[in-house]
Amino acid sequence: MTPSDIDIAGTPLSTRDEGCEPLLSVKSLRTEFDMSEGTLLAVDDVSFEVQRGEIFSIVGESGSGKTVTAMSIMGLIAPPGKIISGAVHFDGQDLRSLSERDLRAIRGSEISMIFQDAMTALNPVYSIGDQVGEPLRRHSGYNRKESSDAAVEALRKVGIPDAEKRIREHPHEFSGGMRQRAMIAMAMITEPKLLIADEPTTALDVTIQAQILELILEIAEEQGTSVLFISHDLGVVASISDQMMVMYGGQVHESGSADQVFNDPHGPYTWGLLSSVPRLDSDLGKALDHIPGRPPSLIDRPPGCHFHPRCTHSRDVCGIDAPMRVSTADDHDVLCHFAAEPQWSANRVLDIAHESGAREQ
Amino acid sequence: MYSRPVAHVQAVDGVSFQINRGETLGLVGESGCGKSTTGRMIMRLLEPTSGSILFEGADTKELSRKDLRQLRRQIQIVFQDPFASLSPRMRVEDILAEPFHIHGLHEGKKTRGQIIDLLDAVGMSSRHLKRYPHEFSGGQRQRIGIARALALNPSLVILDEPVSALDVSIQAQILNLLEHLQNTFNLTYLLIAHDLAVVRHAANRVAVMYLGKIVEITERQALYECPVHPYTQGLLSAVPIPDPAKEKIRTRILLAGDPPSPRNPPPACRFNPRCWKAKDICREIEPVLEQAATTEPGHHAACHFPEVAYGVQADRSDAENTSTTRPPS
Repeated sequence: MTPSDIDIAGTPLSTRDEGCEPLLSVKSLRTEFDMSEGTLLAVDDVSFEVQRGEIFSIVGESGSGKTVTAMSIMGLIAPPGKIISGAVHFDGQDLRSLSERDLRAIRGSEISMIFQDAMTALNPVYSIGDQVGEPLRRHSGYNRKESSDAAVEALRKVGIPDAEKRIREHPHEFSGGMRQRAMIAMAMITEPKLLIADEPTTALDVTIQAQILELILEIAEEQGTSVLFISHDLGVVASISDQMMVMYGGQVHESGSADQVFNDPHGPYTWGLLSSVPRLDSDLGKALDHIPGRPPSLIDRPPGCHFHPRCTHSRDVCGIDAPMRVSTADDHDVLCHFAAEPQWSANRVLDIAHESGAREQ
Repeated sequence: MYSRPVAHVQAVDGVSFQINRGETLGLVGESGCGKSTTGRMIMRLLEPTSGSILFEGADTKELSRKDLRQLRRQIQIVFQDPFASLSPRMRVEDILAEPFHIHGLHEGKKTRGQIIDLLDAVGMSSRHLKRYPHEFSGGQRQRIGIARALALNPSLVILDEPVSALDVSIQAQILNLLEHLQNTFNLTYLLIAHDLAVVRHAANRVAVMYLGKIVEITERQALYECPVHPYTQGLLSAVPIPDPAKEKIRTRILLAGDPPSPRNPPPACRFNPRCWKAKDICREIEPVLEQAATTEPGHHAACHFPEVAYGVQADRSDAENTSTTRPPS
């Protein structure tokens, strides 16, 4: 058994599988936004699968398409946005063929979502207990009393002390970390099969972030929930993910197990990203290898490989032809013309030419 | 009707430190710990209730209005949010000329030449002069903010979360730029940041703040490799490392609870309610920031039970030594 077959808690994933069907399968998803300046292709041919009980992360910088991917899965794209093509299958259902009414029955019960800012998920004028219990009233026919009791139980589970008193409080009376806990309680109260967590710890201090990550892992493990985790923070992704993908300019740049992507990355953008983060275990005094330039505009992306103007390994073909996705190992795919070349990853050590002036392109 | 104070917040309390010429002092801590307040008091944008701030030997509290203006010329600040810190109605050339105007320095051709030099120093060029801030990306705006701070050759630059609003790939560019500028112009930095890895990369010495107090201060290497204050250890242990293999074997110190409100801080050691080592003395007597017996000279911590802990920050082979430090939650 390879390390990637073992999840964070050390339980072999296979023992939790309910058949080999993935819980979520996204195929060739494309989502566009019609803007006055032109068409913005936010999600460009994105495919991935989330297995049951697995933590799958999407990592990327702002504007790389992470959140729009999640919103497209949930069917929450509003004009001027539009899903152009692609298939989204969740637990045996074709989500794209469902009516809005059927989708609503799934959102908040079988698929829940948590966000960076709990205030976007919590309504300031309703009590915490009201809101945490609401999914049960809406989806499971609970009455007020039953849902309120369940809310107390759910808040206790996420570590909120004096839960029976605190259900009467309002979101502003909670600290940032406590609001995040309440939002998690609300998302998990229906025991969803999939939790979509969009930068859930980005606004938090690191000691609170550590608490919240532990909580998400604990509850997901206990309820057998799969997590689609969206983050820009490579450290956070490394600490929780089974599988992951790196997005750049609306596309999947590299995907694989967390071990493959972090320890044997083959995508030049992944290389750049990994070497530009200051980390606690790097050699002191070592300069950061930054990626020159900045991410492309999604309205006007460079031809060929969208990363080529910033890539120190690019060759002529990169500016002309779009790269094909190549497999460098089982389930380890990279969008790069050369990733399948033997010894390709040895190029990583040559890395990005260090230029102390850090000039913008 | 709003003028009556309802409570006093001691945002910063009894903080003492010095910054040596040419170095970068990192000030780290979580939100609300008083690190930005400290920076603003050094610039005298906020008045300390008590205490003194000596800048190049002179007490900044004693300065006349005129001298204060001189002080602000020598101490400059770079803010976190490059979208809020640049006026949307000013062109880049006006933004960069403003420091010269305010301080009544030469204008015209000579200023223009200096402005172009400044843009060049931060990796931009004269073709950006006529543009407005909204035409730039976050990283470019931060470069403009840095150029503005450097315009008058300051001796101290306060960097208040200079990269936390930027994307990862842009963060590295700005950090490298700041390092390059420090070497070129012999600058002294006070780097205020919440990101421990950023501070580790950029600072020579580091002070850790918690609820308005400095709890530990020392050379970078000592702080990251042998922290003695439990809060520093908890903080370092909470920072994830982008390596799944290391993350799996790492022991976590999970600090329980939220930081209390600075309006009503816990008595004695302010960290005691979250500390797994706290004993009666921690709730009764406030520890002073002093040389710990187990540490190198200059390594100061405010704790009754300072102990060197290895292995909280990275993959040390002796990580198992700390495996019992997980506090009851």
